[in-house]
Amino acid sequence: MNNRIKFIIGSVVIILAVIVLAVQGMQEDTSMSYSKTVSELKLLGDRARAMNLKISGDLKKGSIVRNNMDLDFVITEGNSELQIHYIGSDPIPDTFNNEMDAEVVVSGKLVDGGVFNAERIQAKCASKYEADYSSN
Amino acid sequence: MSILAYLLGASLLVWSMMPLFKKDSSWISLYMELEELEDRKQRVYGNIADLEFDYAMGRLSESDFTEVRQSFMNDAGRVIQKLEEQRSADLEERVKQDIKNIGKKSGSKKIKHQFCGKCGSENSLDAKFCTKCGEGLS
Amino acid sequence: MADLGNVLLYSLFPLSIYTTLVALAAGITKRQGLLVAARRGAYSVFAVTTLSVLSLVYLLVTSDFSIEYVASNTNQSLPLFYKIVALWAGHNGSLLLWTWIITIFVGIVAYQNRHKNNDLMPYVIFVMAGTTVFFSVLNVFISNPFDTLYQDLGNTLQEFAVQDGRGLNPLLQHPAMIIHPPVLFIGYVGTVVPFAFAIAALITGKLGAGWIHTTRRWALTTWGFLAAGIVLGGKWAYVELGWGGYWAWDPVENASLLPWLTATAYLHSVMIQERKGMLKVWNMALVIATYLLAVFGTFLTRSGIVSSVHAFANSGLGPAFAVFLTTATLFSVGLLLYRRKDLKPDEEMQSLVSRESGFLFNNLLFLLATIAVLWGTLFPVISELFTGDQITVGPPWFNNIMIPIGLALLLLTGVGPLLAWRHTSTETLKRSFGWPILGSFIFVLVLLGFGVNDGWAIGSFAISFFVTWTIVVEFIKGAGVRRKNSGENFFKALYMLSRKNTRRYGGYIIHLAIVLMFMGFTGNAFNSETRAEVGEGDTFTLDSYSFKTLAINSAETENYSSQSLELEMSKKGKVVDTLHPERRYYFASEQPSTEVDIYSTMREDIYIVLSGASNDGEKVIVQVYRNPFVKFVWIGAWLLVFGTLFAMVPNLRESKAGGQA
Repeated sequence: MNNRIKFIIGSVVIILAVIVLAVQGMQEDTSMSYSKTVSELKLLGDRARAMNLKISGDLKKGSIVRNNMDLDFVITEGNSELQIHYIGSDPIPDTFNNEMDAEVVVSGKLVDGGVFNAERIQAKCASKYEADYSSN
Repeated sequence: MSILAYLLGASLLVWSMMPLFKKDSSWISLYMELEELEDRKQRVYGNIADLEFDYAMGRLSESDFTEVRQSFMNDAGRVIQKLEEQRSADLEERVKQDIKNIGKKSGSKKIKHQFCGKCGSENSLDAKFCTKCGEGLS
Repeated sequence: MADLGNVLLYSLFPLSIYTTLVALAAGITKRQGLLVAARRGAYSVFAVTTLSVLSLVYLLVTSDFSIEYVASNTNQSLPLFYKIVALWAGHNGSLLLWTWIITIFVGIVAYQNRHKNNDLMPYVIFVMAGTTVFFSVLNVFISNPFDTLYQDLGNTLQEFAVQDGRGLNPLLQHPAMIIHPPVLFIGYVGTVVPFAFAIAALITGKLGAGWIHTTRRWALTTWGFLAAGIVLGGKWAYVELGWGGYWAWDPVENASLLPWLTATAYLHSVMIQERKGMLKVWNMALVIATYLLAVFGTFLTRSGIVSSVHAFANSGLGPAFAVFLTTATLFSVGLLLYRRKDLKPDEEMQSLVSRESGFLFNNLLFLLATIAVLWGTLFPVISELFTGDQITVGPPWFNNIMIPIGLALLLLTGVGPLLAWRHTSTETLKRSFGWPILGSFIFVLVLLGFGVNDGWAIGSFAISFFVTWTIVVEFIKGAGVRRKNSGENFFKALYMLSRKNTRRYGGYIIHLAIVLMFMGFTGNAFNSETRAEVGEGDTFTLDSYSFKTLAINSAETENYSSQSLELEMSKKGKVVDTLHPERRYYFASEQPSTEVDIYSTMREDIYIVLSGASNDGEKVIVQVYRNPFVKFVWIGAWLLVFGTLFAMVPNLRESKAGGQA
């Protein structure tokens, strides 16, 4: 029985350590992001500024403006619109253009002026069932 | 083209069902106690081999080694003895069954057969040893 | 031909139902005829699926664009090789590949056991055929690759054929991507074999080591294929996706990792059952969990319940999978609980300083890793259920947990060999551990001296050193012990030693491979990158490397148009190499792809991506990553495959009774 108890104590210690790591990981800003649609984002109001966000919506045709490494566009969902400014460093697919029907998911943060700074963009062409992606 | 497929599917099904209509018999399950004892014997032998290797690799002191080895050898002795007892018990059981079956009709066109207690394969009734694994048959 | 394939596929459904029922009857009645019928059913199911697959390949190769799958995944100008391989490019085809592999395995297992295991085989076939039934339902009724294209003409639907197909996703046109699905699927499907035997053992009550012995090689092979499949996926992501890394804790990546984690745990804990008759319930649970996780993994990938760059979109399979998984789980767990009493341990653990305890902690860590990865992967679903917010956890969370667990496990691979079964004597402990620990400590000082200051990296390197030391000593000492008895020279002794116990020494080789891979992973702590907008003649630098743009070129082929960069790379004034990253745009599929160029040495990879062009086309945007030690990951993976193969070789038997582990 002595060994059993020793083993159980050892296991409990390890389990607790892992739990601590898990909880600690959740508290770090960089790990967690909230998924919202454009309209849900509006509802969050100011709270949204502090969160890492993944916003999904449809690309507004004709809204893409490219300027060398800069990229700006608008996504819509329902009646709401959101201005996106891409600040990431990964390549954007060529298919991300003003003619396509695309579902877009942008990851990043909301900044002053209601603009969303996107670090990553995932664009899915509505007609196909596999996603195009700008980055992983 | 699809007719070919229907034909193929149907003939495969028929081929698979054919064994259902032959007269046959059931197999005899390997005796569970025998299997368990065999397992234990393998385990003890493995333990002894491991122990000797661990000792040669310097993971055990001499006193630990001799002490544990002795207890393993005792285990082995006990298991082997039990195996012998079990085997002779099974032999008796088998003989009794066969005596009971002598009076019954055979029903099969084939020669009467028996199944090996170790590997389960079919042997003719008057075989003394299994043609597949060499185990002694009752 | 399409009809031929379609009808054959349809016939899989009744044939597999028949096989399942007959197998069950065989198990209940123990009649030989029924068992033979079940075996034949297994062979038939294999035959029918193989022919169906071959007809799909025929359709792909002859570019029959009236079939939707062919039109979506190939085009006329696609090279023949890729037309064949398009078999698993799309969802329907890859699901058919899954089913095909299941039927191949049920055929092999039925054949392998045609003269033995009569008690278990009916239920083995029952379980495997039952799985086939489920997948045939998916293949036939929900995701049929033989579906034809239809046009909506107002009142009617008319069949038609397109002129040319959409072509193969360019990301899939790469050697690693070609073999990644089949290799991974073989790993996934292979989990059904130990599972089927475990269920058979539970149903029949034959809970001895028999089912474990029979499935030992299957378990090892499955594990190996899963590992290879996972690494191939990483290699493909690294080379094709162009984000500079090979693992992102993406849900689909995690899905393949989960069964591998439990399978690894099983490979270790099964040795405790062999030696001490302990952990019988636990081993059963692991085998069951591995199978369920494999099916769950394929469910995750295809149901759209978590979003992922890899995932196929919602394909309507979700509910079917959910039903199947729930049924299988309830059935297996129920059986296990029912047989609990017969699975009592034969012995107890004697000491904490024993190999058993090492394996137990190993299993605990793998279990925690599995739970963590599962939790993180499903967190978006869980969080939405309980808080209404869909929250995703990213790589930092996963790394925070998995790096410590991984290092602890790595440490155990070094400690394990030093422990004896049952109990390690204290005097010997001091001796065995003393030297390697001292050596590792000195190694740490050396690293610090070289300016390495990342704590986790130092820990990882130190543990790698420790493990390598202990394993190498195991080989050398073992050879020495053998030489005393046989008088062979050192190398012969080494060879004979390993050949006589391939499981143990193959295992050590695999552990060394893991060490190499961990060193590769640790390189990530020292990554650096830069990004520049360059025209012809421009230069930029990254660490000790300098880059000069020699030329910016455009080209066009039948399949795609491309823009490429000639980049000269120098170090300390000497030209090292010229690299050619490229961006392509494929016409048929209207998809772009990046062709990265990688300058790879043992020390680091210089990884170059052409990310885009400036508006006027005069300049391009190029990203350069310096990734140390990446090569170690791939080399480690090769060594792992070798170790697995070695472990499967039967032990050499000598005239006197050979040793076994």
